[in-house]
Parts: sequence; structure tokens; C-alpha cells
Amino acid sequence: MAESMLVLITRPPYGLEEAFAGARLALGGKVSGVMDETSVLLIGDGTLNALEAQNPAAVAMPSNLEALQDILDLDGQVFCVEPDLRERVGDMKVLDGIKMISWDEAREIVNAHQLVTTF
Amino acid sequence: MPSKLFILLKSPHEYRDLDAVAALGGDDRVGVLLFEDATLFPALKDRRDELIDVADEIYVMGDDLDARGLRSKVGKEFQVIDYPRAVDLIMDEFDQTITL
Amino acid sequence: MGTLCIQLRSGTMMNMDSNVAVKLAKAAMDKGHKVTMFGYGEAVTLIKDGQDPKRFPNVGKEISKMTAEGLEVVVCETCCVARGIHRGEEIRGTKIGSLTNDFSRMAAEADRLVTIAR
Repeated sequence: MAESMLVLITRPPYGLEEAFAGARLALGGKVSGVMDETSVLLIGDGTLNALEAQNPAAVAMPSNLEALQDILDLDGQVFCVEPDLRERVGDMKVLDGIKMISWDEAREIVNAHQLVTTF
Repeated sequence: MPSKLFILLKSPHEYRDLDAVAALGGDDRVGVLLFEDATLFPALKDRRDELIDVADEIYVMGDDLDARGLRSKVGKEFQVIDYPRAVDLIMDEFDQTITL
Repeated sequence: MGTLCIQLRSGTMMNMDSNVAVKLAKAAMDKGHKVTMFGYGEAVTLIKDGQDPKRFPNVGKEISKMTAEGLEVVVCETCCVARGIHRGEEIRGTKIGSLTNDFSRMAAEADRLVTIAR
């Protein structure tokens, strides 16, 4: 039996369905309430999902940012590995509520969850 | 600290982010289980060495290896296994699985 | 014995991921573990009845056999509708269900979760 699940998002927004699908899966976990904790961790290109400047209307796609906001609205936690994001885009603003963390903290978060699924 | 079994399915040419295995694994016990095109890792010297650097144990699915004719490329750092052994690794011998 | 949940996200004819998922599920069941499988995204093709690949392993046939032996297979309804797969088209013993209710329950009941995806 598992009480916690971490959704690890490694893919960037919009080129693939993966990041959106991962966010929806995490949201489903929060809504169902069957597990104590369902959190999201953005790493690698997945950190780009945190950028506030996203404009998915430009490609007529659903918003990954809104998908993450929905999780935050339900008191879910969304973490973003800061060095991965900064390496890619420098000092750009991220969605309020997303917690910027180091790799050491990311490892602690992984260890604190029983299940990990990757997108 | 939970032990972690990383599952790789993509070819070493397609998957170039072994840093993530190292970063997520840290000092914990790190196993890597290679399926499908990831069984090319033992055949490519540079990528093989990178993988050996980040993993404590490396397992390769024998059927995927044989299908590609690469069994002779497997060195002593790699354990060739079957599905029943993979189940034991997943269910009993590691605390978490992480697919990358 | 434990419970293994497999989350599959590749379509049955996209690559060998569905074959890996089926073989892993079978080996786990043979050892006495309970196995559940959730198809998300393209993996909803897992439960489509009438699969008939001429030269490749028939994943649909394997799924049909294994559900009779206790494998639970559910796929995401929203993903099915997006791909024009509707209730009544699924293999007997499988279910077109919900990410929120079915996958969350499967994950909560699992001792281990394996993601098979590219």
C-alpha cells in the first residue's frame, strides 16, 4: 500500500503531451484523496513547465501552467530544480507557489515518496 | 535512504541524461535496469563507462540483448537477467523504481 | 506477495513497450504478485478489441488471457475519447475508466509502481 506518489516531469511543455499528462495525473491524485501526498517535481527540460511567460494559446494547446496551478490550488506541492531551470533560461520568472529547490533537496523529496512515476 | 532502481528503455543515443540518475541517486544504492534499446549501453564504450560511473549495479534484459545480437558485448559490470529476476528486483530488492 | 502497478503510456504498435509491460506483468503474476495495469495516453490501444498484427506479438490476445487469470487492466477514458475509442470496443475483462478514480486507487494499493513509457 502506498501513501505518497511523486510525479517526476522531465519533458518540456508543448512539444509532447507528457508534461501536461503528468500534471493531470498528479491533479487526479490530489482530487481522489486516496493518497496522503501527491507532489510534482520538475527536473531537466521539465523545469520549463514552471515559466510564467508561457503562452500556449500561440499553438492552440491547453496550458501546462494552468495544470500546475490547479495542483497548487488544491494545496499540492510543485517543486522545480532551480539549477536545471537557470542553466536553460537564466533568471526568468516562474509561477508563484512553485518551490525552487537544489538537487540535494530534490533527492530528499524523492526519498520522502513511496512511488515515483515519470513523464 | 531508499534504494532506487532506475529503468531505462531508450537507446544511449536518444537518452543522454545519465546526470539525472547520479543526481537523483546520490549516495543511495543505485541499480539500473536496461530494457529494449537501452541494452545498447554495454556496446558503446563511452556511454557504458558513464553508466558504470553512476550505478552500483547494472542489470540487462537478456531477451532484448539477444534480439540485438549483443550478448558478447556485455562485460563483467553487467548482470544479464530474465523477467522473473526483474520482478524480484522491482518487488523485493529495491525500494523505488524510477523510469528515465 | 505484493502488488505491482504498471503504468503504460506507449501504444501497442508504437514500440516494444507494451510487450515489456505484458511480460513483466506475466512474470510477476507467475510469482504470485497481484498486478494492475493502467493505460494512459497512446496506451489506451491496449484494450482495443480485435487487434490483429500479422507479424508481431498480439498484445490484445495476451491481455485477454491475463485478465482471465487476475490481471486488472484499466485505461483512461479521456484519452480513449480523444482517440475515438468508445465503451463496447474494449477487450472483455478490461475497463475504460478514470485517471482520478482508477489510477489513483491502483497506485494507492500498490507496493511498487513501474512506468513503461518513452
